[in-house]
Amino acid sequence: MTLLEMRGVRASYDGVQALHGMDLGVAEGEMVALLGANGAGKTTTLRAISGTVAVEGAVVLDGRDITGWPAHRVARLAVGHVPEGRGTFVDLTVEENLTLGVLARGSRMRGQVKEDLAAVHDLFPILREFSGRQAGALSGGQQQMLAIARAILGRPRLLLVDEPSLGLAPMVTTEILRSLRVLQAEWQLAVLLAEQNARRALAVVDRAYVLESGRVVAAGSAAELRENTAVQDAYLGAEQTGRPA
Amino acid sequence: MTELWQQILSGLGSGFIYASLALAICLVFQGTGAVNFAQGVMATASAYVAWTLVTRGMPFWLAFVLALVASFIVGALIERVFIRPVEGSSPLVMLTVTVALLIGLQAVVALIWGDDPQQLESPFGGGSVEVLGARLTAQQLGAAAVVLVTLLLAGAFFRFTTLGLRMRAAAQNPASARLLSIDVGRMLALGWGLAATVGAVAGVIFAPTLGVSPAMMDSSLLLALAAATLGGFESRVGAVVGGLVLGVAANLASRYVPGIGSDLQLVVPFAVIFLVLLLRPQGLFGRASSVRA
Ligand SMILES: Nc1ncnc2c1ncn2[C@@H]1O[C@H](COP(=O)(O)OP(=O)(O)O)[C@@H](O)[C@H]1O
Ligand SMILES: [Mg+2]
Repeated sequence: MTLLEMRGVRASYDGVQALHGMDLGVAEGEMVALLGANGAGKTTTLRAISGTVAVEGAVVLDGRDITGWPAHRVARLAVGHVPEGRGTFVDLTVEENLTLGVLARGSRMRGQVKEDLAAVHDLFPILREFSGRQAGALSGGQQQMLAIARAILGRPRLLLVDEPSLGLAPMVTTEILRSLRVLQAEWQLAVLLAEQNARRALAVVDRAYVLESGRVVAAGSAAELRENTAVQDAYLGAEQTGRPA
Repeated sequence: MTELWQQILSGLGSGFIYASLALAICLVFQGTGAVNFAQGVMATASAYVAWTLVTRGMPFWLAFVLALVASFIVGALIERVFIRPVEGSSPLVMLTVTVALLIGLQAVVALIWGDDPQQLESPFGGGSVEVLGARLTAQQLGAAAVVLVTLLLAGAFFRFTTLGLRMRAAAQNPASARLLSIDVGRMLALGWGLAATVGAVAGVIFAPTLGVSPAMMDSSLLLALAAATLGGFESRVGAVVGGLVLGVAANLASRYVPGIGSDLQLVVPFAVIFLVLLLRPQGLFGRASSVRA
């Protein structure tokens, strides 16, 4: 079953076009990567879905055309977005950040909150330990875990994750990508993961799209793309560790 | 000694006016990044509404509650109509809009109610009470108590309710709040409504002391701006503490500093604003990173 479909989506910032007709689809429960160099349009694609950039074309979620919907209404349709830069509420405590995630689920799955919080705390024990701390005091990796936990507590069906590896050490990146895979399986999520670090992303996802200048230039299963020489030359040449923080 | 104590307590009394206006200013600033110069005249309008209802024969407390409700609605509407279109604009645009609001609302108030000062009778009667050796009127004490309760309720609302949490989230990181299905526009309108209500409490409850006139809140607004500067525009607690401190400071200065009579009291907020901006621009309770450009 197709959960998300984008057809001919264009988006621009102050008249400068960033997406030139994006076509892609994500099936229910599937984990898909958006690969591409800096400036390829990964962030804008995610923002086009969550309603934080103005778009033309069609964004269809679960059969419903949500093109042009404001972000808070898209979020109510169970779309979670872990934004670039992590979107931490720095002056609020870790616990309050997580409560905001729980509140985002509205009336859906209200009875499930205790178990979900426990599950999130088991996956990221540091969030339990630092529960009363100001979120701004957490390290980059911990804030990334907080951002994922906050989004997941909204009980999304589709989770958009924007470059979680940015500025993190390779070990932490591995841990975070692995926990995304765990969540995708255990919480019945579809995940759309934007990642510059193609090698690491292809190690965890089912399928991927490769973007260049706001367009899809290659697509396929993770295994196919790992074998694809053009993709290899462009994106898998050397171990990429992401831009420094 | 008793004299000093007396001056401190009565300064604290007026400090509650500045504290509530400062809290209102701070709520608006946190949400929309605007320093609302019209916060004082909005409270004046609330006082006039209560005065009108009381002169028509309505009991004070009922008029008080209705004035608060009306203020909430008008505050939220002002955000929708005048602030929403310039949301996210530069501080200069925000400044222009709230100054225009100040001038516009002053004209509206004068147009509806005229320029003649009116009297509103104190709901606490004309008695006085002895507090630890100082003599305070029932009005002074009652008004302070009402404002104190209001401030505590506002604090509890933001601290303990989920709506309060969502409002804080929307003020702090609107982009991230939207992704968590928070309707940020609605939260900002709510913030303006709440601010107008907090200001209205001060305007109505202190009206018997201040007299009801178009200029009744003018000097209080200046002191409240100084209070918010002192405490830090980003800190609700700081604004309230700043208001109380300034109330006492202004009163003591007018009593004990030669040359500063009650006419020159406003030298105090001016000096405070100047010194704080010079020495600690983020205010006593603010963080350096949160000083807006
Ligand atoms: N806020 C913005 N204002 C103007 N241009 C932007 C903005 N964000 C991104 N762009 C431009 O849009 C294009 C796509 O950017 P983005 O989606 O951020 O790519 P990626 O996430 O793949 O690095 C780039 O050319 C970038 O310069
Ligand atoms: Mg990006």
